Amino acid sequence: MSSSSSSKMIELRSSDGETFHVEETVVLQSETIKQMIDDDCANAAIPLPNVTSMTLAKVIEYIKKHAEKPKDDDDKKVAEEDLKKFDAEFVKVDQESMLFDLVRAANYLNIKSLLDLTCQAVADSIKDLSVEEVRKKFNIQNDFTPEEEAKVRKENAWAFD
Amino acid sequence: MNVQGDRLSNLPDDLIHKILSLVGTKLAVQTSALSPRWRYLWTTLPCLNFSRENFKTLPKFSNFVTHVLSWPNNQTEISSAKLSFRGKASQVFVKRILNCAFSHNVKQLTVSCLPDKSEIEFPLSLFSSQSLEHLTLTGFLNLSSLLAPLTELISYQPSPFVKLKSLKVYPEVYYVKVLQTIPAEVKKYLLDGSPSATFTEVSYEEMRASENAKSALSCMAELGEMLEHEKANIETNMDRIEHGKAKTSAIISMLCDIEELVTELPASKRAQFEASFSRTDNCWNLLGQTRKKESMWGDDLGSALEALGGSNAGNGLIGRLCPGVTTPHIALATRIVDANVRLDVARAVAVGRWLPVEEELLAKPLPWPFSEIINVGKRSGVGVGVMLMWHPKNGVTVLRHLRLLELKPSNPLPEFLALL
Repeated sequence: MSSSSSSKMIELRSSDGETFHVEETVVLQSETIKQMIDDDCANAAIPLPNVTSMTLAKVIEYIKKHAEKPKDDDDKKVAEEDLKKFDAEFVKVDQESMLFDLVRAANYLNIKSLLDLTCQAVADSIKDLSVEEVRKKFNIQNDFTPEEEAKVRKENAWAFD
Repeated sequence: MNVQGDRLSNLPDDLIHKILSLVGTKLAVQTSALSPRWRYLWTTLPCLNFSRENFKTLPKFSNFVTHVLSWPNNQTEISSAKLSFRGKASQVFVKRILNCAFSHNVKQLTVSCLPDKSEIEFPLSLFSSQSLEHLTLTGFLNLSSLLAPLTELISYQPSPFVKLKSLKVYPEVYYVKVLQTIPAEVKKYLLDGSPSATFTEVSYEEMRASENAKSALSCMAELGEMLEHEKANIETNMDRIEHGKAKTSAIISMLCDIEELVTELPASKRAQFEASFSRTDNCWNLLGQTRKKESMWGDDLGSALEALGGSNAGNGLIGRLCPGVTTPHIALATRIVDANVRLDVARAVAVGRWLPVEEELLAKPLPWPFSEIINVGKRSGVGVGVMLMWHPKNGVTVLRHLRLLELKPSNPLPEFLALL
């Protein structure tokens, strides 16, 4: 394997046909892509039919940041703090749909830390809400009839106390 | 289903489960009322997360646990279970949760127990597990009671876990200091069947240090905001102040001179340091110019500056500022008020000399910027401003007292203040 300075570049192609060139060392954070590389399927551009260019650009921003190696121990502490800040900012996306795109992309690409981060962000955004607020926030269509909903609430009344 | 609008419901079950596991089991069950899609999603949750805090009364919590546990079917594996409660561990729900978790091949078990006065008997010894990989115990006052009621018998029993990869034991930091480590026989019992398990026992001091560091960070963020706010206030009042204080322009030019005098930080550190505090630098500068107690964000800052103004130099200051301070009660939290603010109120300095408790804290690798600040301070050898967090008898209460702890004679501050 080549050193980080002259790492092999891997080409990724988003669902909308845009190509991205990313260092192999960086892209290995994706278990899915790692598997493809291990299976020798990465000689041409790797197609990612489930990920749009916009989402992929965000994902690449994330894995690049997370691939940075601190030089020494002092640097490591700074880097850890820095990474925490980066993560916190990273999930502050303008549009909620981007967060869900990232959840799906992280899941598909199998990048555990990104999946954890984005799921946590979704969880944080709902954990203090009531059912009604969750429904409103995420525009969840209530397909229950009023009677059905009342029944569910009654059945699970012990959770609504 | 509204495919366009509802990104949450459209996630696959396993991702919804992941998210629900993070919001806690109570809300997870409540989502059953969202729509038919959600009705039974919670019943196959692989992670249970019970917290007493979410319920008004203990019977309600207990009732909730009973209902939830009557659901998981035997096909569902419970990969992780978390339980957070206070009071007696002999409460029936504790056993029930453990029972359910172990019978569903739990891999990760986390129990946090806020201690109360009664002896806690945690019925861990009643169980054994072929699946458990990670066990985390927090807050137990009496670690030998973990295995009650069979403590005497454990030396004759085989270890209940064979796949354990990690055992972590954390003390409770908020209530009382407990100088206790896990008894050797308990440790042996828990770990004997899993030779490759890692064991982590965090000491009270370590826990406290890391809690303090965390609090300190949030204090700093808060302080930054307060100063920002104050700066905005001051800026709007600036006109008035300039009229009211004839000396202001003289002060400003003096400030500039002093800035030059005090910019002797090692160049390599300065950039980093300045960038990090530039916004407060600015605020401090303005605060210093006004010297208006009533416009300060707290009496403490006001009185600290007043005290500084009246003092000639150096160490006498401490006695005046912190007469009641006794070392065991203080944790250093910290903040360099400023490296090179014109006021030069503060430079970092090792404060360990009179705060031995903190020396220990300082010796630990603190998250940046603490270690940086301390280094810079030691090198430049000037003053330090810290925020003290007091620990009155029960744990951590954070007071945002800004104190100026030490000024060395080399500090140009007194001369400067004399001119004010």
